[in-house]
Amino acid sequence: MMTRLTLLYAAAALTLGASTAAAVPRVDRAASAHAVAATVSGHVTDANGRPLANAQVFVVGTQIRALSAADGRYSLAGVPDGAQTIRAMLIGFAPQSRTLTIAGQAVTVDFALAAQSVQLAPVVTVGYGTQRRRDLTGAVSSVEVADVPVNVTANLGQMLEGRVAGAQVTQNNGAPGGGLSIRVRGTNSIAANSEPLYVIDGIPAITGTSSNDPYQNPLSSISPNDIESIEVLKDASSTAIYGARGAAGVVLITTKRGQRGQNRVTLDASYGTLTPGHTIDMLNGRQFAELANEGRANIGGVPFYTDSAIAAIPNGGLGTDWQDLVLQDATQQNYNIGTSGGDDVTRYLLSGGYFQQGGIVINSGFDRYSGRVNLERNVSKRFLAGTNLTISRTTNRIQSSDQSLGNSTVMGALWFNPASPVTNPDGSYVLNSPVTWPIENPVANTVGLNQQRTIFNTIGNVFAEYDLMDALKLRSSVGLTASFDRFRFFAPRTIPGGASAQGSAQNQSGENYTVVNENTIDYRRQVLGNALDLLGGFTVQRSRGESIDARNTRFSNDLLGVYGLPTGTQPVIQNSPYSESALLSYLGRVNYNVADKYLVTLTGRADGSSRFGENNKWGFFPSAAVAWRLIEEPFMKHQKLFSDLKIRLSYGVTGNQEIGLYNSLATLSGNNYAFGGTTVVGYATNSAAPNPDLKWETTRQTNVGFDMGWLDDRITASVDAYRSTTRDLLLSVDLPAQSGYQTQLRNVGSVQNTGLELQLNTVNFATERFGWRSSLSAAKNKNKVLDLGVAKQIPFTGDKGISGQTGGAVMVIKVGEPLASFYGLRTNGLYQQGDPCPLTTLRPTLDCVPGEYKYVDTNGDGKIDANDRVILGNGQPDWYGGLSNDFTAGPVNVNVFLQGSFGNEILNGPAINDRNVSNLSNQTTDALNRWTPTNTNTNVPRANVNRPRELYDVHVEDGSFIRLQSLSIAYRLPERLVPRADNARVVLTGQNLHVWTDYSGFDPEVNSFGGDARARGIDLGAYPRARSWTLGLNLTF
Amino acid sequence: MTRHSLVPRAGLLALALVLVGAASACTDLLTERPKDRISTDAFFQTAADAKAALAATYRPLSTQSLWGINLQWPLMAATDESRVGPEEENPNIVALTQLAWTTTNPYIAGSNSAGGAWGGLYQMITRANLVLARVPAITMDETQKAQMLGEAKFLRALGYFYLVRLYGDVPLVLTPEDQAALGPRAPQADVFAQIVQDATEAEAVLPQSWGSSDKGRATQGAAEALLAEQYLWRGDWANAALFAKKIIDSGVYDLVPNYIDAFLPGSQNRSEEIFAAQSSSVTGAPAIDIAAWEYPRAMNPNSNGGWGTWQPLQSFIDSYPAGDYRKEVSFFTSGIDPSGNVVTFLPHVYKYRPTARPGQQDVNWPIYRYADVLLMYAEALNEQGQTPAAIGYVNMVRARARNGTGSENRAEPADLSASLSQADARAAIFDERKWELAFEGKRWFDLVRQGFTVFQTAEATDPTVIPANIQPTRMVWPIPQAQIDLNPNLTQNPGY
Repeated sequence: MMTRLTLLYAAAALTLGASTAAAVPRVDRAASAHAVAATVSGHVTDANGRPLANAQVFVVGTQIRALSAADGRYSLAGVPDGAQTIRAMLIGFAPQSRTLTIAGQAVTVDFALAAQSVQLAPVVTVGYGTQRRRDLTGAVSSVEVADVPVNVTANLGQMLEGRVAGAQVTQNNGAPGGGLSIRVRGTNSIAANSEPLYVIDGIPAITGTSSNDPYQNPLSSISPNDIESIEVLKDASSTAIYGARGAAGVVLITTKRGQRGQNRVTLDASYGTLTPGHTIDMLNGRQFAELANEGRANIGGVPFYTDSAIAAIPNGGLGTDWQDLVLQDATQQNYNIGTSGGDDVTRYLLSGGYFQQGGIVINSGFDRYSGRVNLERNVSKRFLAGTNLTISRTTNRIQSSDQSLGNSTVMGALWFNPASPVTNPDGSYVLNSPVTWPIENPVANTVGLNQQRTIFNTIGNVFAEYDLMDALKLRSSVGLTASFDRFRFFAPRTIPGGASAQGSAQNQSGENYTVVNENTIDYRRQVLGNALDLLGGFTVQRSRGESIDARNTRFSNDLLGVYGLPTGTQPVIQNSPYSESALLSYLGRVNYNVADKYLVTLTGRADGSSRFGENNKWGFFPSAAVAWRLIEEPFMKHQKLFSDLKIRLSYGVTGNQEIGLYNSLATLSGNNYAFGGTTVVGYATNSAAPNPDLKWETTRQTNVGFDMGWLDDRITASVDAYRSTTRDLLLSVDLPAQSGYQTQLRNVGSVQNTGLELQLNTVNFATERFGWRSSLSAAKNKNKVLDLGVAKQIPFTGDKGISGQTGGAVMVIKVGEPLASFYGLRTNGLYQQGDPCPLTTLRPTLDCVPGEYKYVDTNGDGKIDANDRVILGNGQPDWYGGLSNDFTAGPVNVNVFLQGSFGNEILNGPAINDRNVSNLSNQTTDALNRWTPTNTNTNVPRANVNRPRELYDVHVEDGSFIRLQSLSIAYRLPERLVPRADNARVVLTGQNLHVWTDYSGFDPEVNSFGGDARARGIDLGAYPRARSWTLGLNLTF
Repeated sequence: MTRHSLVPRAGLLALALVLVGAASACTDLLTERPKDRISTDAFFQTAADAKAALAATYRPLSTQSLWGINLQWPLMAATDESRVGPEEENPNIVALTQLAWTTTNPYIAGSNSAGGAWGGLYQMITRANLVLARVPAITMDETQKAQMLGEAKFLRALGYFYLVRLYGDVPLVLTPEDQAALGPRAPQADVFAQIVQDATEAEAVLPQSWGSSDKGRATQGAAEALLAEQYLWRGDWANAALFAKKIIDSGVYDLVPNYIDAFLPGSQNRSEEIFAAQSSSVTGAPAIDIAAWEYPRAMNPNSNGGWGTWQPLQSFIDSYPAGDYRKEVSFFTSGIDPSGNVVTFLPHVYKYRPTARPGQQDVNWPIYRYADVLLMYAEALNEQGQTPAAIGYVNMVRARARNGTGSENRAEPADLSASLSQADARAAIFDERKWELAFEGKRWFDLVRQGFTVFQTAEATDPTVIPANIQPTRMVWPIPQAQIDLNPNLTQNPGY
């Protein structure tokens, strides 16, 4: 808040000049006429005890007033005796008054102001600058960081979840350090990236990725404790300034910095417990054995288990409860220490933190060490220089979950044969599940598998600003983002992943860095009495990355683990890729403000990217926006309904350059052969044909928005409607084999996103004793594929083990439908004895057999096959959003945050096997209600070991949910307990306390394909989500 | 507010220069120059480049594209020697045994544009075409260059020979330009003319044998074997005999004393191997994981067992002469699982025995070996009425089998009588091919050559077969539907 105000004054002074100078509060030190005078002083803080700077504090009915300093301290001198009312006011907070009797003595009066409306943050960060919110012409949402329980938030992305209308945040799984996927206004790419660009302190630091790794999380290196503000740029007017990287939205992150005023030290510590949310009821050993036998018997086969084998199932027939052996309770902790401060010429902030989260799956976890230095100094009156720098190291211990359907620890906990013991009589692990599909023993994995990724990450810049003259400012910065990552893997011979290879080790390391130089000129002056702001700039960005992946197998023992890499006998350098890319850009923006009523913004950016084909090196991305602040019109002066009313309209073109490197070129790939038993290096042309015309994907977006306020802005709302059409989508187009190639990347596809967003903030109560405010964000997005080139539909396997289970595509991209539709066979209940059989070609033991599904012959050809597959659902929600309620009563603050998603379906991957009522995996307890000749009134089919594992509509479930995401109860400690502290709070936070959903898997918020646009809302056995309670302490001195 | 009338001119000029200078200096950044891969234009400059392009031409033989899976599975499963294992859940794989494949079956048609064996064969042809188009311009030793071009021609001819047998008429593409044109299917006669031309030119320049580090390259004998086999396929008995005899007379090849040695790791160094898809466990080289599909699941497919994807038919096992050594060494019914327990199972093929499964898949897939040539020659002689002479060559193969491990003297398979009728000899030769060349991908083509007549009776004992599918239209595979979709000039084979 302090930053924003400081910036407000800077911006106000520059853009508005004298016309608004009166609005800027000034300290009026006019002496009182009274002879006897007392001093009233104290602190102004927010409800959470954070100091508020620049609050106006005044004695009602006098000219005695002051502004609070950075530490919130104010002092009113010369307050006359008698009953006086002291009032504190600050934009964005409910005013507060205290009446007291002054009798010449010094009095301390502290104010804790309740935030009045989260939308009122008066200045927001935009691309290459800041703007007053009231002057915005585009759609920009801010996250109210103060409402986020940062101490228990593992990563920055979670701070956005449910708090920004139009940004759908999906945590891919519940793993500590697991990844998340953010979609701003829907998915607008198919094969390329659909995740937003992250700009941290002005550095375009992280580009989105279309990687389908659910653990991919570019934001995990940044400590949430360091975040001052987060803005999400949504419409083309605000993102076009980022040109070929703006199409998927831009997230602007600003970190905390030092303020003028006294030095402050903050300490935050929290500790909590994590417990598994819920487990899935699976069959026990005897139940499974009976089902497997029945399934065999139903097709006329010999039983899997003899009576004596069933009798020998351990634990009296219960067998092994694999989930119980794999899941555990865990802990998490977070410690942060920081100091900040500054004076008129230098501001500084230093902070360091440690965050650790244990895994509820044994032998998994995440931790992060982070440090930050933000410095700036006014070298001279016109020259400012500074740096923002963060370094961090994250370690992620991984137990495989949704990387592959079937071969993972989490899937093993569900699918492994419950009739099997964990170990053989000799003590060795039962490696693969008997009788079923040969899934790996999850207990062996949790004990023996060592899989961890460490990332050393640094993001920083050095910047300088020079005021060439009052109206003209130059800014130049050099930013660096660099990461060094290492992945270690060792599977000893005692566990499935290492048994056949006699130990398997991998040590992969890589480094990536991007250097960006950005130079802008900002010219602000009054033209015809109106404010004109011109921005021009030139940027150069270069990125390099390389890695090496060394592996070995066949070790003589497991003693050295991954560090025994050289001692194996089958060393392989798997690959050593190197990549290089560059982006050159020219950018410009015009803001013109006519009488504070009519606002015009024009932007343009020309991007030249090395990724583009030889014939299409440069793209130009313009945008235009206008806004009309109706509330300023004379005819609005007499109405009482609105306290604010603004209409915004924007249109623009943005691009997506994340089309991969070297995709336009004709290159060769290694194709070795063996002559004489030794390797001979070979090279052949790639199966993908070159395409010199390859270019960016282009999005055109129209946005209409209304900003409204009622009751003196106690209620504010922003409503935005948009339609964006993305063309030239990168698609791999098949070529016939006789051409010598299999595919060519071309810009052929098109998708459309249409949506509506609502951000509503209300102050329900704002009295001195009790404050209650609410913040609702809700968004609807409708996604539709318009064009796929020649094809009308593209079945998408996605794989990650899916084809190994089902033998075919379970997703389809189809013209006229949303992206990532689920694709499978429809069923219509069960076939009962005597039902008519509509099919002419029957699959034995399956079609028209009592107790089997009534498959729907959708194409009416009399047989059931892959051609009968239809769209069964879609993973993209109709609506999503969040609701925050914040209550303040005296020293107690309670924040309740609900978040949800509606109208999306989930493809329950594990169900393809564990609800197929066969022997190929353990089954959920639904199978107990399976069809038998005596139990016909059921929707669970009979046991059948031959039923194909395919996607049936019964595996596609409603994924709607509402989650009680967090409940925080904070208590401000009385001053006498911690006398030296400016602020001392204890906070109890519960997370993921309850989920209201019909989804039968671990958790309905699931996305096993990470950033991949072609598959959303798929559950491949995602790591279950923990429920947590954390107790924290915040101290500020 | 202070008003400045102008920015200092010098400052503005300097700024403009900086921006323009930076921009022009950087434009070059936009050119992609990959460092971890080779651009096609920079290649084909040296003899080493030519050698690398040629090695890549061989490669599809030993990957999933061809003998790794795409040729292996259907050619095993669809015959009367083996079937898809009864545990197999994938209906598309089961369809291979049932001859119930469709135009989109992924194990016949491949997934999408990859095209299964069709795609693998055109991949090999594409690479051969590129060698033939670009290597002539390279300045290098002319003898070596001619040999390289000969190898490429051999591989192209081999590719077209599989294509024409599996699909009938196929597009005949011989240059990169041909390939871009997406032409229609060419008549079989044109394809065969090209096969003969390429193989004949290869035969003229290829060496009789290669040094130890080049074992596995195409030889004169390989080109002659290809010529003999394609003449045999076309019923040109005289020419088939001519080229088979050239190999026999060359003195380069011999039968190894112990039948199983012809398949054990290192076969490229043995006298029997004429041409094989090379498989090596050496890092970086392609490996055909035959055991993964051959070995039983009971030994654990993720470890030292396999998936039992194709398994021998009992009727086929029973068809061997009693006591035939080849039967004893080609199958097994018990093995050791990863935990060290002895497990028993239905008979599985045990002819290909890599050093270790998994990890060391070093068994070559035989394409031409000397025993095959002897039987080709015998067949060509018999068809020309020289039955007694033909029987002599069959008996050479049977004699080796009687020797068992090398020095045994078994009763079976006894010498055939030189007085067999031509028809009986024909049947005997086909039977001998069936046993001698079992699970080498030859049987399917022999069944087709016999018009599926033998097939119907034998395969009827397989419970998974659909007898109605054993009909002439199945003698060629369908053109993969995706290929037709992508090239409207292609037409489908009748019956699909």
